[in-house]
Amino acid sequence: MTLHPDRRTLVQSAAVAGVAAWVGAANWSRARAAERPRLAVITLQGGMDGLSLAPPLRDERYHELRGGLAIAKPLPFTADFGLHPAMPKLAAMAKAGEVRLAPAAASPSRSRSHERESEVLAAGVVAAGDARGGWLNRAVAALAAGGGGASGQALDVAAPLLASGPAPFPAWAPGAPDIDPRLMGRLKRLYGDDPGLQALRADAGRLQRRTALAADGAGGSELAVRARTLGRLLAADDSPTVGSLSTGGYDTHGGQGAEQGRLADRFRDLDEALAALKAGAGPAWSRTAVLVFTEFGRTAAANGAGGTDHGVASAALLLGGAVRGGAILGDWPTLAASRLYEGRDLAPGLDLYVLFKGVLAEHMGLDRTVLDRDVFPGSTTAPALRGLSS
Amino acid sequence: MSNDRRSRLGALAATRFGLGARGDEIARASADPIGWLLAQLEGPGPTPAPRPATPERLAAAHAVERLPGSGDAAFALHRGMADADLLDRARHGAETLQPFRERWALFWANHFALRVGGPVELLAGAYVREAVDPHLTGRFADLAEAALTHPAMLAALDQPESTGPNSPAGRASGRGLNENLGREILELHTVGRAAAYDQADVVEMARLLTGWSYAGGDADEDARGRFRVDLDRREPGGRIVLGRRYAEGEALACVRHLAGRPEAHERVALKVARHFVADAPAPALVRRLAAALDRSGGSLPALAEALATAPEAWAGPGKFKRPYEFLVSAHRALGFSPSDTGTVAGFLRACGHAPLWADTAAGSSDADAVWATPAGLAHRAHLAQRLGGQAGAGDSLAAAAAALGDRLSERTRRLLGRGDLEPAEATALLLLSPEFLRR
Repeated sequence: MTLHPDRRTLVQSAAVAGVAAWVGAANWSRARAAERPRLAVITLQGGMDGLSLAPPLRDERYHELRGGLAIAKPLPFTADFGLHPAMPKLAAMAKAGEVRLAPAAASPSRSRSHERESEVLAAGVVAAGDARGGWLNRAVAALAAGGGGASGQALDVAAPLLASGPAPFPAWAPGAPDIDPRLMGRLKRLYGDDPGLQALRADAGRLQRRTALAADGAGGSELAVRARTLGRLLAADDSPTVGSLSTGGYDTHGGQGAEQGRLADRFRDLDEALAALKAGAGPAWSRTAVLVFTEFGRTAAANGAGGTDHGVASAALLLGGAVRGGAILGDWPTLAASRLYEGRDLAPGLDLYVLFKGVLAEHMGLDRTVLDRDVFPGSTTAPALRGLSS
Repeated sequence: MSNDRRSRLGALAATRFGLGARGDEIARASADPIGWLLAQLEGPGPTPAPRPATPERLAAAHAVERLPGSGDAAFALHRGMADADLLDRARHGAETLQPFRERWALFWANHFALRVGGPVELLAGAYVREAVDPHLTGRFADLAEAALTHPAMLAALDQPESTGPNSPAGRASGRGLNENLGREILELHTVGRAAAYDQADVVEMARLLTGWSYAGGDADEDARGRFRVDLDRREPGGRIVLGRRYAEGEALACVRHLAGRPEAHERVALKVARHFVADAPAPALVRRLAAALDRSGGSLPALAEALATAPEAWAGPGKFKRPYEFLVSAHRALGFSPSDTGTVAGFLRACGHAPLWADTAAGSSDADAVWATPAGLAHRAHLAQRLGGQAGAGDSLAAAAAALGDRLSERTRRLLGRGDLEPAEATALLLLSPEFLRR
């Protein structure tokens, strides 16, 4: 989206006025706000095949199980795992010590169902039908309650469950049209004391300005534009400290491909998006952590129809300037026949709730009690992972 | 029933159960609101405008794919067909005298949703016309059979590639099962997780379904686009799904049995109540809807009657319209039909809601929170202003009264009556009013 020149001038003069106001205590509190940690959460929808994203280098069963879907020449990544060749930018970040791989992460549920696993991982609650919005929203609420001044923004058109709940976490992605000021004024009167619609209207007014400014000049794929915009929003002082976006196309039952093909195209797009997020964040990258996960992994073996079916564990990624590079997160159960879950799927080596909690505790500074009680209610048996932050 | 109450129910019939009032619809519905709804499910339904059927679409795609470097041409064919289907369906929605029937159709199209990808955009419009529309007044099992054996559904869930490992084709090639359709029949289309199926049931279901396929665009003209069972891929032997034994070749019997189980009726009842009534519908309402299906052997009109006669369905604040419902109801309120694909397909794609397919096999969400977003409001405002400009001069208060009947609030009426509004602006405000955004 290109910004209208008049509005660009308007925004710039507003910025100048803002600079003029940077004095005394205001200056101090803004500086503190700028130092707050930033978190981006990227959800890969459809069940991403972790064994193609990060193929094991020393697992003798890999090529036997995968056949034509095996990644023959992965890029260097960790000691024991390679990276899909469509992801050179992520490989470079890994080399710079900014990436951690959880090669066998899974939801605490095991249903192999898109709907169910997506809900468990977004809600942060395992009990069915007990969804009280999403854990990321509750985390923002907890940060705000702790005086962190936190807010969120989902770079999606439709609001994801992950971001729904009591805290301000509206959905707005580049490309949504502006509501002109005159209509905005009329709507304010029209919506009277309807709190829901007044909030939507007010959010639209606020978000359209800041998102258009952040998206200005961002190029590349649709996903990369959203990712770069998210990075820029996280970098700005008066913008959200937490963001999310989701992207689909990972349900590769057929025509999955290997070095090239349908899944490789998704990985290439993701690689570009992660690099765009980093570029968008600029200096704020050093305070940023990015979580990337999917609802489930896929069968350890190819399904005999050029693809893979629904499985259990998959790869998850934690990256960013605030992330301490190093060993894999969780265990690697291996692909040995005796270690496969129900004889067919990569078994869980790390509960994703443990990873989520670890990021919220170490990187975002949330208290363990708050995490167990408010953000992931009923999850006291899932500890918070340590050693993630640099 | 008092006249006041009747006209209140007439307004709800047209807006909550239908696609928004067009012309004097609220007045017509008010005479007998429940009867007006149920009469729409009698008879064969409207004759659809001519559009290519599945065999013609497959042949066209086959012809394009044979050309060298055909990627762009194939994309243009698929996208062009999809956009024309969206316009065609929206035009029907804007004009129909049976708007509840159309909502009913789109509800079932979303229950048996096509996950977008592959040939889905090419076939989706034909799928709804061929597999869903003709089965709206029959039994759930018949609808399930038609939907699950249609080429669009088979392709969307990768079924033609699934090969029994011990079938002739499986033994010769080493190919195997694709579980996608089998799993989604259990999880999404029929019994759902309440039936507590496990991975063994999914695999047995997938084995039972091996061979289900269709004749593609390269087949003879009389076979093209038809469901067929490819015996060469069919896994030999009987199967046990959810404790019930089926002989080889009894996949259809299994699907029909699953569609008739109480868990399937409960699942469908909950989805109907969520779609038409509330995100969290009263359990008593869901039980009554499920009981109507149980008692009638899965009759869809019996389900509709239980819905239309339920007091809960006429109470409560109503739901936030989904983008497609907003688009169609806006045209009905203004009394003209959508005429360009840019407006229809552009709006729907930007909002992430197409009535003929969905991002996942689970279908588009019915949760208010998904659609009531700031960006969603901005897209609606943009469309409302454009339609307001097209509508031209007119009495916006009269239009509001016709569109909303007794649901028109005093606040909206006062605001639309102000002298300082341009006609286009007043129309846009009507479409963006709280009562028009909801149903």
